[in-house]
Amino acid sequence: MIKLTEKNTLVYVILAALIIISIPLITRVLFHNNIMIGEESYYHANIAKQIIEQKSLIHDSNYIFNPYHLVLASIGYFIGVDLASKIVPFLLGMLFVLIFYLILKEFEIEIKERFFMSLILIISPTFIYLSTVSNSYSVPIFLILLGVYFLLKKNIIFKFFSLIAFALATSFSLFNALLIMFIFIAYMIKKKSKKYMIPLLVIMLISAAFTPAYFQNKTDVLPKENILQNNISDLGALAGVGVFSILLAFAGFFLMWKKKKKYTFTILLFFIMLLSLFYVNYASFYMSFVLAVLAGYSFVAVISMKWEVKSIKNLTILLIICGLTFSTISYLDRISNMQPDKEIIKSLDWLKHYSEPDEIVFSHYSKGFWINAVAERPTVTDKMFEYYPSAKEKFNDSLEIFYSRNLENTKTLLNKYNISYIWIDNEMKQGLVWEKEQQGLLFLFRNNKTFNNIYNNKGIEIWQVYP
Amino acid sequence: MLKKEYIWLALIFSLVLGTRLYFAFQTPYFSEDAYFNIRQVEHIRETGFPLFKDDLSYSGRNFFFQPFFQYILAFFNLFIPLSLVCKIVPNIFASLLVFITYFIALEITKNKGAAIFSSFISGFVPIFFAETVNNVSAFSLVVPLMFFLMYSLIKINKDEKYINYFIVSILILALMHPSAILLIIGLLLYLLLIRMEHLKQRRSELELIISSTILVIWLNFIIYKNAFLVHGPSLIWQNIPKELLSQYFSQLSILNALYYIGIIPLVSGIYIIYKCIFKKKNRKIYLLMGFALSVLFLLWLKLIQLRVGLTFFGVILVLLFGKFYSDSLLFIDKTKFSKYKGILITVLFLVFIFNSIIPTISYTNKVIRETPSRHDMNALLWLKNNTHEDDVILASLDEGYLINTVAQRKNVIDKHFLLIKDAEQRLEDVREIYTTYYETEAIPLLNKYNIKYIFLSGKAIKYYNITDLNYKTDEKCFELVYDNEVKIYKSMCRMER
Repeated sequence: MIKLTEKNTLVYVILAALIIISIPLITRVLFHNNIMIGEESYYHANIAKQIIEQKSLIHDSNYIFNPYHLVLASIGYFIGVDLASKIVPFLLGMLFVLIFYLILKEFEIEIKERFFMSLILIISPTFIYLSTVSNSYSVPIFLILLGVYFLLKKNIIFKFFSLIAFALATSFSLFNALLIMFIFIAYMIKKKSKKYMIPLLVIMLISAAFTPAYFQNKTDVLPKENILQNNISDLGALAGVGVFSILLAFAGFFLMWKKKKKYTFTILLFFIMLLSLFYVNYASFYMSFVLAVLAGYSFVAVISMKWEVKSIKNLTILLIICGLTFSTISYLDRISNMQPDKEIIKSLDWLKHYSEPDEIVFSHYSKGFWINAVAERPTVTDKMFEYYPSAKEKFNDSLEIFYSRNLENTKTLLNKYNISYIWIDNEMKQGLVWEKEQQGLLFLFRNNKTFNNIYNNKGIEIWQVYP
Repeated sequence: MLKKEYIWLALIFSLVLGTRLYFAFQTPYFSEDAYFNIRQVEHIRETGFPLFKDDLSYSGRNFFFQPFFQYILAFFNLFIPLSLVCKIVPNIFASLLVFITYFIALEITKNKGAAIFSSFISGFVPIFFAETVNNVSAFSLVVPLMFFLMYSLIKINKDEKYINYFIVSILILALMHPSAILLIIGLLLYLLLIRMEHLKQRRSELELIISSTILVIWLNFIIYKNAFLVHGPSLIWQNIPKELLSQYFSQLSILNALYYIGIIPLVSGIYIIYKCIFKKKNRKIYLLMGFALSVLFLLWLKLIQLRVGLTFFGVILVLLFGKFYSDSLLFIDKTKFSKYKGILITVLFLVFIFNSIIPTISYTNKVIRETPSRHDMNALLWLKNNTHEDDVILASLDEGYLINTVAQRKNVIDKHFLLIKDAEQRLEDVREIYTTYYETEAIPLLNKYNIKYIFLSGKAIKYYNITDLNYKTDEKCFELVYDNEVKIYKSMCRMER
């Protein structure tokens, strides 16, 4: 058995992170032509490209400002946005692990616990998502982790850097601002000192300045997923935590409760995270760091426990490892093969060359970012459309177009939005939009005076619409 | 020489098995639900694997279930014909419960007479007897195995080999049926009771419970992961349509409990629980109580089916009855009635026969009466021989498995609702086809599911409260192709709704 020392533990942890993050990236290179993963990555890349082209911020009234676009554009300016979209999350992922490990060290957590806590973080689906998909959460998480690390340092210069990191993270969202304020409060409770009131006030002032940016007009149109399906990867969450991590974390929480004075900071943070899961749909990204601490703690407790029957101990540890890795393996497979695939990109590339730049494409809202970024064509809806004007009308009209079998109605709506092309893929035909053949629009496609099938390859269809 | 109690046990086992087989062989066929397992066993025998992707059920769907029980039956089918395996093997498994209850009761009471009595009663718990006699149900093995696990847990401190027995049994249980979770909840409640009563927690016991909890959760999660993704937490209700939910997960009532469990085990069991909570601490009784509480909670919250809950509850109460019986005898010994002890035991025995064996026989007779008749089977075989293998047959919900297994044709609906997105709609549509007066309503629905034949058995007539299809008069659209107690109509028209 390898003995864990101060020197080698961090190396093992970094190596583990490198291996885990590399799996989806290598799979994408080998089997999917190195195509970017997911939907939101295309949105960020598209905006970053526009910033680089215009050499200024986007001035579109529909645009929702996100500091991540500036980060991506700045790096993309030198190495290209597509490469930056892959490198930025990767580097941030490695930095998460490093800083998380160093924070644990600052908290004087023993080396074995540090090792397993870091390992559980690395194999969590949220970490894998943050490190492989270009997203707007990685940067604020990195800044908050950095801020916490500097905050724990005794040197006053570090405290100053901590404030800068927190101030930058505050600009990303109200949740970040509240979280940072809570971190200060929890830290003050732990330290039993009020000297952090000033930085807390500074953060409050900064967040007050950003308040208009936090609150965007949004019309809730799309159906809401429940808290479990939104936060547990095994239940279908795009980036949630694994069931076994949660079970272990709860066990860890009860174990820590016995030493609540020592673990005040973690316990308070756990409570606030738990609460935020109900209100913030991306809170599981932040939660996974706290869960890793709790789950790692209980895992070490299980290993260190004095077992009367050795065979049961081995079986239990084996089962926990299997349970934890099961979520990881299943998520790695999911994310590595996540859409878009090369057929989708090929069809969008084809559309880009076939159509005119101002021609509007209609599809399911979840395909909007791909069409915008790859085909470089405008769409009626995308995943941000709830922030745009007349979102409800657009959503209802989309449903009418998808499901109506009345040609005149459909034609009126297609003309209303000036739609020139309809792009559909297998996912849409297999339940995302339609459940049966010849349902709604699929039935109307028979009318060749209105629709012309200009592309049909491996289930992806592009239909030209005649006004 | 064999001990006297073992001879008694052998006699009880023979009596229970004999009675079971007597009822089972009253009909050459099985209850409708049995045909799902029979089909799975046949498939395992042919291919070595269970049928997880089925083209016939719901005209094509995926199944998620633990196939260990079906594998066991398939193993026996290597040497014995399937019809005999399905009649005999589950009944042997179910009868084994008498041995397990004997040993648990002996541990609890230290009284061989009480243990023998408990063992006898356990053989005739009405709901367990009737539900496993001709159903080829996994519960015939699940129930004895669960109680064997409890016995192993009681014994681990005396003999380490029981640790291995426990581990192997929990693994088998987890691979056989999701109700292993019920046991886990029971064990966790047992830990809670031990803590609340400030009893010393045995280390090995705690370790086994932790380990089993992780094992059962993990295995169930792996097996039902996709179903979780589709149904979320409502997977617990197995996607059963709302219309049927109240039948499956009905409220527990005292009358139900009296009928399905028997009055003596129920009253005595409740008395022992009361005594152990308020008067005398008993670790072994707490183990049974933990399990009983888990069943009661889940029944109360309507998270398990009433039949399943009452089956476990019935056996637990029988074990508690053993304790009641031995305590009562000890008490009587201290009174002037001790000379009438023999008479009292005889009276108790007679009351037991009246309250448990008679309901068992009546309930089992009802189950046997409801098995498909010879006419049903002939009609199904007619379908098998005279229809195209891609034809879809409409039958009532209960008869769905029969269409797949006996007629070997596609059905529209059966009782396996998991992962069926439109189960509710299908149930409603099937009812509509059977009961509507208008062919303009029936034909589009028949077209919707590509139904070629309508299977109208006596059971469907009774269930839908009809005398025949109301729209059969249109001979251009509905041809009566089979008429011998069961009617089969061929649907020949198409209509867009």
